[in-house]
This record gives sequence, C-alpha cells and structure tokens, in this order.
Amino acid sequence: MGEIIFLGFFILLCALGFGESFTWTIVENDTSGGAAFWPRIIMAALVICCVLRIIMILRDQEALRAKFVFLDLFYSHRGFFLLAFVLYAVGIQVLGFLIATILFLNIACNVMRYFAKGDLGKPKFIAVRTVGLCAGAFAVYYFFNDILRIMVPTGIFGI
Amino acid sequence: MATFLDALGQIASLEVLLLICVGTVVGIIFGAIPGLNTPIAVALLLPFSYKLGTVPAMALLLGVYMGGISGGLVSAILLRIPGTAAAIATTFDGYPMCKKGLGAEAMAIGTYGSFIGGTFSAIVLAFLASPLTKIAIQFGPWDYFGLMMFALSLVSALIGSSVLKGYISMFIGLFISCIGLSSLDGLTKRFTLGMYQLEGGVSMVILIIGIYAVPEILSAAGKLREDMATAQYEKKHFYIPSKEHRGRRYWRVMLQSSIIGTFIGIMPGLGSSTGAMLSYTAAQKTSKHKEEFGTGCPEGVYASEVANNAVTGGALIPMLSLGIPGDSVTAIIMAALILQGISVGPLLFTQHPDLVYVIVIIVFLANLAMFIIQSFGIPLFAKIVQVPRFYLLPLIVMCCAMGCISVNNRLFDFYLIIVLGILGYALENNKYPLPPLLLGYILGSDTELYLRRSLMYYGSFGDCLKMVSAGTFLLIAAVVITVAALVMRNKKLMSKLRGKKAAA
Amino acid sequence: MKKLLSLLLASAMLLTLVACGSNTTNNQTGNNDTNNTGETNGGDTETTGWTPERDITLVNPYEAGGTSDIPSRIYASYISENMGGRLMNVNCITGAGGALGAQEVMNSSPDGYTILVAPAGYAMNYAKGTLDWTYEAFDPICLYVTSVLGIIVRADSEYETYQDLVDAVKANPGQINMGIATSGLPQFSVYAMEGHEDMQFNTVDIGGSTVKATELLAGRVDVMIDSIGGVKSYIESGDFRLLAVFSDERIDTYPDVPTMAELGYTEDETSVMSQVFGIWAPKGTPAEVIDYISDRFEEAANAPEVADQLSAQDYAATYMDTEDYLVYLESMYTSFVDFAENYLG
Repeated sequence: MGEIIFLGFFILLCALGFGESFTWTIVENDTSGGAAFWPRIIMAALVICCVLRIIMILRDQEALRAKFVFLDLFYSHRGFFLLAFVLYAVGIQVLGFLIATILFLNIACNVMRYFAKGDLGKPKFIAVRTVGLCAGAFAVYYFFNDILRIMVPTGIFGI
Repeated sequence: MATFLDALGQIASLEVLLLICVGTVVGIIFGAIPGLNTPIAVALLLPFSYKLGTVPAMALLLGVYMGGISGGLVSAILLRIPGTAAAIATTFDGYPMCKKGLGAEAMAIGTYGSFIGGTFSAIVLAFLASPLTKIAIQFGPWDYFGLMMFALSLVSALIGSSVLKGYISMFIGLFISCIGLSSLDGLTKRFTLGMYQLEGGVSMVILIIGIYAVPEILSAAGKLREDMATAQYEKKHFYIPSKEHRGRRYWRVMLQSSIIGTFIGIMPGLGSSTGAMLSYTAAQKTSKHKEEFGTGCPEGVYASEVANNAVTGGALIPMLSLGIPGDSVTAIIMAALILQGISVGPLLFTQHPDLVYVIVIIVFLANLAMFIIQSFGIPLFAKIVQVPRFYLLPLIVMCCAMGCISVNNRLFDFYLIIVLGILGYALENNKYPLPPLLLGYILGSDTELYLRRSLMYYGSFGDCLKMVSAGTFLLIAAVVITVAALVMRNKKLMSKLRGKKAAA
Repeated sequence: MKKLLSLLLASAMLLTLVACGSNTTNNQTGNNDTNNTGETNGGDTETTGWTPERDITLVNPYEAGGTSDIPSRIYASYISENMGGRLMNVNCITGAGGALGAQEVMNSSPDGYTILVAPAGYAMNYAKGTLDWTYEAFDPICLYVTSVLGIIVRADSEYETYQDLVDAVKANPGQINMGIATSGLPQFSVYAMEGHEDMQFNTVDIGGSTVKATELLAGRVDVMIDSIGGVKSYIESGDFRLLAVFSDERIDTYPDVPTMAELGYTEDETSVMSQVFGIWAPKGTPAEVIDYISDRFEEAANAPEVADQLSAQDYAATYMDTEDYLVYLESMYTSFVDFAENYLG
C-alpha cells in the first residue's frame, strides 16, 4: 500500500513535469528535437513502469500487505540522527561552519554513544572525546579554509 | 631509441621521482576523502606547476591523476561512499566484501586491479596511440549515442530481483539528470522549480553523497549496537591480494576490463565513471558466476577498478594526439602544457617526441608509486572500520558536508543531499536497487547531448537509423539485449510458477 | 581505540596551533600590503587602495583548455606574481553555453573575489533572446584579450579559397555541414555569412572548442568556425586550411588569408564577428576594487612575456579600461541587437 503511494508520487511528478515541458520556449531553427524531446521520453517510460508495477502489486496479495519501509526513518535513533543532520545544516547557515561543526560533533557523538552503549563513559573519556572532536573540527576548518582556500560558510559570529 | 633514452635521462632526477610520489600521495588522499576529488587537487597544485619545468610539472600532475582515480576505492569499500565518481561501481561488490570482514582484501584487490589497468593502458598509450586515434575520430555523435544506449541496456546486469523496480530506478536517475538548463543550447530551465541553484543540475558529487551515501549513514545510525565487522587481515605492513585472488580465474575479467576502460578513455567525452560502470555491467553479463556479483565478489571489484584506471592512460591518448582532453583533469593538464608553450595535437609527436616518451614513463612510474603507496596504506585504512560507529558517522557527515559545500560554494547543496538522502533511503530499503539509478544519472545528459547532435546532423531519427555505422549497430544490440533479458526473466518466472504449480 | 583518539587529538592540536600561527602571519602580510600599495599607487588611484586579502577566483564559463581558458590562465599566472602573495585562480564552471558561470558570478558577493571572463558571446545570446540580462547586470571591469576566429576546412577538401566554399554551399543548399558551438559567438557569424551570400548551411552544434577538431578531422562537418589558436597545431601540421579570418587586419602568422572585410562584408556584419573577452564583476562592486583589478590586467597586458605567450597561441592582448570598456560594451550590444533585428527578423 505504501509502495503504491510512493509510485503515485512519481507518476504525479512526471505529470507535472510533462505539463511544464509544454511551457518551454521553442527556438525556430532548432533542428535537434528541442529541449523537451528527451525528458518527455524519460517521463513517459517512468510512468509506464510505475503503472505496471502498481498493477503487479495489486495482483499480488502478499505485496499489497507488505510494509513500505519509510517512516521508521523518522523514529528513534535514525530520526535523531536525521534531525541532527538537518539542524547541522541550519547551524552552518546561521552560526558558521566551525561553531556548527563543533556543536554537531559533540552532541551527535555523545548522544549516539549513549544510544549504543547506554552510558557516556567516565568523565575522563568525556573530556578527551570533547577536546578531540573540537580539534578535529578545527583541523578540517583549517584544511579547507587555509590550505584549499575554499571559503567555508561563515555565520553571524563571523567565523 | 635515442629519444627514449633521452626521455629516461629527463626523468632520472630525484626531483622528478619525488614529485611523482608527492603527486600520487596527494591524489590518493583527495580521492579517498568523499567530497574532495581530483580536479580540486589538480587545481590546487597548478600554480606550483607553473614554477616547475615541463617534466617536473607533468610528474606532479600525472601523479595526482593516477593517485586520485585509484584512491576513491578506499572510502568506497570501507564506507560505501565513493571518493570519486569512478569508484561508484567499486562499492557494488567492495562494500559487501567489507561487511563480510574482507575489507582489507577488497582494497588490496582494488589496488592491484588499478595497477594492472593503469599499466595496460600505459602500454597502449606507448605503442598504439596513433592508430587508435585515427579510429577514435571516426566515432561521431550517433555512434556515441549508440554506445550510451548500449551501456544503458546493460542495466539489467544491475537489477536484483525485480526488473520493474530496476527500470523505475534507472528512469528516476535519468530524470534527475534532466534537471537544470538543457544540455545543448542552455536555453530552457528544466524542472528547476524556480530555484536558480538547480540551473546547473544536480552535480555528480551531490548525487553520490545524497542518494548513495546518506541512506547508508542513516541506516547505520539505526544499527548502533552492532559494530562494523572487524576487517580480517594479518598484521602485514604491505598488503597485496591473496594468491587465490590473483589467480587464473580472474585474468579474463582483468583483460576484458582493461580493454573496455582503455577504449572508453580514448573516446573523447567519456570518463572513468562511464568506463567503470560499463566494465562492471559487461563483466557481470559475461561472467560464469553471475549471481555472485553484488554480494561481494572479487570479480566485481576487479571489473570496476581495472577499468577506471585503464581510462587514465586511454584519456591521455586523445589529449596528446588531438588536443582533446578526455576529462576535466586531462583538460587542466593540457592547459598546463599549453602554458608551458607546448601545443598538443598532431604535431606533438613530431615536434616533441621525447615529451611523449616522458609522459608514458611518468605514467608507468605513477602507477607503480600508487600501487606501492596504497598497498602500504591498506592496513592503516582498514583501521577506519574499527572506529566505533558513534564517532565515525558524525565525522563522515562533517566531511560530506564540507565536500558538498565546496562543490558550488553554497549551502543549498547540503539541503539537497538531505532531500536526496530521504529519497535514496526510501528506494533502497524497499528493494529498489540504487545502481541503476546511478547508471541512468551518469549516462543521462551525455546520451541526450549526442542524440540531439545526431538529429542536427542527419535531420531525423529515421535518417540516423538508416546509416550503416557503429551507432546503429550498437542501438540494435541495445534493443536485443533488453528484450532478451526481459524474456529470460519471464522464462524463469514462468518455470518457477509452473514448478510451484506442479509441486502444489 | 584510545590510541586512535589520542593520535587524532595530538595531530589535530598540532594543526590547530599551526593554523593560529599562520592566521596571524597572514594578517600581518595583509596589512603590509595595504601600506605598500597605498604608497606606490598614491599617484595613480585617488582611492584608498584596496588589496585582496584572499585569492581571487576568475570564473571561466567554458571548458578548461578552451579558447577562453588559455588566455585567462596566462594572465592569471602573471597577475598572481604581482598581487602580494595572493593568487588569481581560474575556475571553470561550464554549462548552458556559458550562462551557468555567469549566474554564479552574478549571485556572488560583490567583494572582488569572484570575477567573470565575459566573451562577446553573451551579447549575441542576449540579442538572440537566450539570455535576459546584459552587461548592466554586472560591473564590467576591463577588456583584456582578443581571440581571432577563422573559417577552417580540411586541407584535403576541394575548398581552396573562400569563394570555392561559397560556390559549393550555393550549389548544395542545406547540405554543407557547418560546425560551430551554437550557443557561442560563431552563430551570428554564420547568419551573417548566410545573409550576405544568400546561402544556406546545415548548422551543426559541435560543442566546446576542444572537441570541434575531431569533427572536422573525421569529415563529419565540412567547415567550421573556431578560434585560430585552438586549431593552430592542425593548421601547422597541414591537416587544416584557413580560408578567412575574422579580424580587422590580416594576421601576421597567416598573411595570405583574407579578412572578412576584404571579402566584402559590411561593418554591421563584421561587428558581430570579433571575439573579445572582458572581465566582469558582480553588480555593486566598490570602485576601488574595480580599479585594482583593472590595473592588474593593464600591467599584464603590457608585459612582454604575456604578450609573447598570447601571440604564440594567436591571441592578442588588448586592454581597455573601465570607462572605455563600458562605451565599447554599449556599442557592441547595440550592434548585436541591430544585427538580430535585421537578419533574423
């Protein structure tokens, strides 16, 4: 059932895309088939395959009942990590790469260690871990910023 | 002979040999870290190369080139994150091997295969450059289109259990490759949803990290209690594949992949990712052990790694003899040569024959350096797997973040990989295989470009088909292979159903 | 595990120390530069004398190794030596006939660290309607190099002169394959030729300049228009023949080849044929930044080694400062738009 929704999503996407392809300008002396030629073929093929697959699912009782693995992405450990991921992205935008990375590494590593082993380890290890991760973040920052001269995003604090 | 000795003389200096090693190490590092890739490394070292002479500059840049193509296998095998696009196909069998605990062995196989592929194409470069160039220029857009369609038809090699799911995956990949400004004329904004950042399309690094790496990271986050399988390896310092894995059984796939890789390299416009994919799918189709592919079979690792290094030597052929770079790295190397005052092209072999020999020798040495350095490095690399997941995953995310931000210098791509990651997660965990998606994406925009060019040349699709050329032949072969694969699957399905009915 | 962590820790701390150390050094160098530039340029610039604190990225919107790339790299390596420790790096952002690179720079911050190589092709695409922005969406800095285009055929073809080609095309309308990069400058040249001689090519797109040569070598196109520098080695080796050049005067290296003006083309037509490259900065770039960059390019254009390297590849170092360049751009855009109206209807 979930899979049918998933495939339906793609069929919808293709339908929208197809519609959009009619709004594209056509240059008069374009002898190469136009910009819409190839995408339309792809979208048509994708729709056909999705429809066939839906028919196959509807025919097969077992498949109809099968669970579509998707929502468990948002629960428990995976959900936490996904959230951390998203917040990291926002953090880079707002706080700048360096601060966001330090926060992300420390929080994610510690929380995940808690998930994995049930505790955070002795205070000595927590300290070592924190310093090490911060140093790691600095190292990457230095590598990209100064050696590769690729500008890392800076946030409201300017670093 | 005199020029050969002359060339040897130019190489035989400590500076040159050292630069080859330095370049190779830099290349391996950049290749291994996902998000950093060889063009960045080459661009980084290019200003240094201005100050060096021609031969040392070539030594450095070619070392980076060889190291970079090969280094991608490290993270591909250990983390299922291809360090370079060329290593995508290495993940198909390399990562399962690592999960079985054979990570070090897989890396050794990859390194050994890279060495073989690179050396093979270097030999071809040395002796067959001119005749092969003449053949290569006979391939026009229609032939390229046929070749791309042929490569796409081999997708059936990557499909696991369900044909439809595999095709859906491939078409999704093709669809993604259409996003952005249209290929030929750059006139139309396709599927960009009004976001100007999508006008460049989804770049390769972003797609690989988003669809391929992020789902794996997210899945692993849910399995924190299990540690990754410890890599079994003897405490060797220098790691080469076991005798069994170097044996006769694998010679055929090595030779086949070398030839395919070199051939793809010679064709201007096709790169190492195409070569590795084509080689992998072809190897699966022609292997006696088809079912093993995808489960951790050394043949698969050989097929991918031999081919992607064979492309390097092949790509140097059109660069030197026609002035046409095979990929972005050879383009920068070519620019470096031009800036040194050496015009590549048909006159190169007559005006600077010693330079050609120099480049060939450097390529051999760089391959050797790559092999030695990487084999020493394998025990170190293998230790990465032993780092507990709760440290490893956030660190990987950090590297991926930086990598994808550095592609276009903006944060948008980071959000994009999250979206792609969710899509990839949905696909992968419901048995929609990801390799066809990657195949479709890699080949998509080129296929369209060659199709449209062919139409400009010949007028209509029908006119193109009427031509007696490699393109038509390959297109027919593509159709035949697709139909045959579908029929064979149906047959299996029919006989299975019949078998069930008979049993029941 | 402990070992790994401590190793990581140690190396990271070491790197951090080095990083802090080098940051301070960089700042000092930056300050020194400002002082120096202020003194030496005191006469030239009446502004405070901006100097770059980071490397400048010169965005080349076409392939590496192509016609816009080589002269950019020649200039960039010379300028890098005179920027007080900072480098000018050429970064190729290809796609969409040059539009992608332009978009990148348009959306960059106007601080002088991202600038664009702007070919005349942008004017053509605006006149065609492919692009909806003009040079006014940027702050143009200067003109810096001219690349000469030419009509090229295979040496073993039957076209000995320009007139042979014209006769052949008139005899076989729509059959002779003319290979160009359709989103690039040569497109209008083809229209001009077709209009002037009343003939019809079959125009085929053959992509970036580095792939064009194969198409002509293999005979899939009969004639192509490309920059001479790009196919120089083929002309010298005798594989290709040059029928005409798109420049105001005959080229020293090929004195027998006529210019388009000599072949009867009017000024309206030849004005859309010259391939010039300028440097554009994002809109809103401060005047002192523009002056600084413009001065660097002027120095480079006047340097003998740059001129030599360029002419070896059949480019010409032509420098025009900001004001002159703006005037030039305006007339260039006007001529392209007029051409489009007259010839394309």
